[in-house]
Amino acid sequence: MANENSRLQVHREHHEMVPVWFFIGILLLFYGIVILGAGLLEYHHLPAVVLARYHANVWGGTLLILIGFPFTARFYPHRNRMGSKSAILTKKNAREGDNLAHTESVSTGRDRWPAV
Amino acid sequence: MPLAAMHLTEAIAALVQPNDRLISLTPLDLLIVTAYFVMVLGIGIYLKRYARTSGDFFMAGRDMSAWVAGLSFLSANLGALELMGWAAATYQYGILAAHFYWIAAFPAMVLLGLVMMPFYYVSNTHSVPGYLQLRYGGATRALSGVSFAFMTILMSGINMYAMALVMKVVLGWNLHFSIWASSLTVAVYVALGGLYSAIFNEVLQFFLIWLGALAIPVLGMIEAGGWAGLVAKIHEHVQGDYVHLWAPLSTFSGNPMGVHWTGVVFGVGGAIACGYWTTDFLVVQRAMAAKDLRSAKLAPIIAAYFKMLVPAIVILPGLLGLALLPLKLVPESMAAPGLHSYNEVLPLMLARYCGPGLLGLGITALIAGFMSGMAGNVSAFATVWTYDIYQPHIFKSGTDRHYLRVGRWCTILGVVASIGTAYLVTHFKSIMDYMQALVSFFIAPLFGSVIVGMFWKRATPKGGFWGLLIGTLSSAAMYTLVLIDPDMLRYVALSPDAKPMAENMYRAVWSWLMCVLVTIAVSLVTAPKPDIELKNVVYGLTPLPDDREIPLYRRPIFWAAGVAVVFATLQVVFW
Repeated sequence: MANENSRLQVHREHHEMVPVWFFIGILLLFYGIVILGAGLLEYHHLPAVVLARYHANVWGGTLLILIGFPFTARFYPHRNRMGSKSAILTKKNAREGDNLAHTESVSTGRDRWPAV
Repeated sequence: MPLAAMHLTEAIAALVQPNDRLISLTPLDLLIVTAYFVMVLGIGIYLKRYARTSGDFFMAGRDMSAWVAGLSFLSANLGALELMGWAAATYQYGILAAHFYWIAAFPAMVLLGLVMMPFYYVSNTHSVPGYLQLRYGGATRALSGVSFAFMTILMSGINMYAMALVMKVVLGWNLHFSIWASSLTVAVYVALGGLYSAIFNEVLQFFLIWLGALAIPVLGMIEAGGWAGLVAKIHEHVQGDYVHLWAPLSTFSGNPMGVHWTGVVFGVGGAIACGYWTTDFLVVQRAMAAKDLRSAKLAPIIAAYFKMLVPAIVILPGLLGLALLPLKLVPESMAAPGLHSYNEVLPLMLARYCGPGLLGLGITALIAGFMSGMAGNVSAFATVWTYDIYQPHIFKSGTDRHYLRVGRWCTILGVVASIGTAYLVTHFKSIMDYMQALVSFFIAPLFGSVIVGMFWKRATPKGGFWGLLIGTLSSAAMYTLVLIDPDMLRYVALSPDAKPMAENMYRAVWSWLMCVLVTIAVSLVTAPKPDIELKNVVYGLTPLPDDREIPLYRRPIFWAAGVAVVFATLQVVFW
């Protein structure tokens, strides 16, 4: 029982992990803002590149913001800290730990289909 | 493995001149690069709190969703060495280079997802050598474990050196600065967060690579005037068929690559792609980190879709370079000051269209690709060393905390060894060619061992060991033979018109066959393992969960069928 509670505690904490999508969102949002800003600043003084008239920085910066902002907003940490009840219940069916203290001489086998 | 990238260092090294650079970065670009370094270090520091057991550190707690596992699965392979190498190969050989993306996605990745992943996952193994331990015993595990550990450190060092050299030539950065700055960053974030960090940064890298390189195909196609315009411009510059996938492959001499369709189908699609994508632990580890079997099966299938899209940012820039660059790129052996080699086509296209801002993003994407390559290799090395060498052979009775500490130290020592390898390559540049060849020796035979072991109960431990060993040695022998006498290629590839690119394809086929035949032959005269020891490891003794009660659109096989449809469509469109 103590091990079960400990495992549930670990999985609950892992479920509170800020997802990778948030980090992606915040970086892309930052990039989008600086690149769009640069694109607007250079709007009338184009860089010496081919097809500069297409203002690639403006389009690119806008695209980065359009991707970064929803990711940041959707996966902002306060939305993910509590975790859903169903997710914790799903974790109850999680396998035994993969810790190396268990030897690997015979496969233990696992049914990996989710409980729901 | 990027075959064309084998000459990357030689090409770029020939152009190294103090203060000679292709691209100058502005403060804005440097801000973008710096932000990336800050982010990856921050991610590593953040994730340390979640890497508290060996399962967390080495297998990311087996907690990854299908999307995260799938994108990192692809990104683990999609490094900058790969991107630049295949863009270069496209400039040299045309659209034929796309085979290494499309025929790799199907059937190899689908094979892994639908057929092999259930065995890897249900067996509860932590690595591919671990699976070999369950199937064939300790000797085979040790053979593959030692070779894999060795290869990952070499590849990590190659990535590090290649990045430093690219940064020196493209940006004028000091070689030592690039090596140390990147390796210390990788050491910190992987030692702290383990596979969590590696996976998070690979998914981040995926987005950066796509967004950083996107300007090239978009603006390039506008400049070229669409596909028809691109084809017309290519024909103005070169003779031969550079824009068809299969039509020129009926003869070795009928295409720029000098290969036959049998080599592409059986060599690339069969032995090489299946060997790499189903047994290279660096990529398979990502799928194994999935939270359940369905996610583990879906991860390579999700990756297959994006794999088929990658030519848009790798192959297409190569074709656009061929069509639009005002200067003609040359082979590595002819590179000199004032001339640019094939390997510079991607940075040249980046500089062509991207001003300050997007240029910094593109350079960051290349740096991210190199660093992810290092991080992936180092984390895989730490896993294989700790699970498959240290724990079974050196110290069996440690606590989990002990193995976690070993894993962290292993990561740091792995990075140090990689730095050593990188400096070794600076003095002996041909080592890079030999390292790439070394990797190729193991891939196809390992696939043979694993696939026979998964589906043939009668395969014995001795059969598995000798098959893997003989298959590997036969690959090394063929390579050495052609190296000593290039005319021997006609026997390996079965044609006097075969060119060097064909050697890897046919060598993979023969070494795979050798491994399978030896495994079968030795198994027939030696004793198999009892069924009880093969439970959950072999087809027929593994109760695989039935997914028929799940809606069709949620089943991996549905999405795998989609991969097949997209693959077939691409072959027809670009025939």
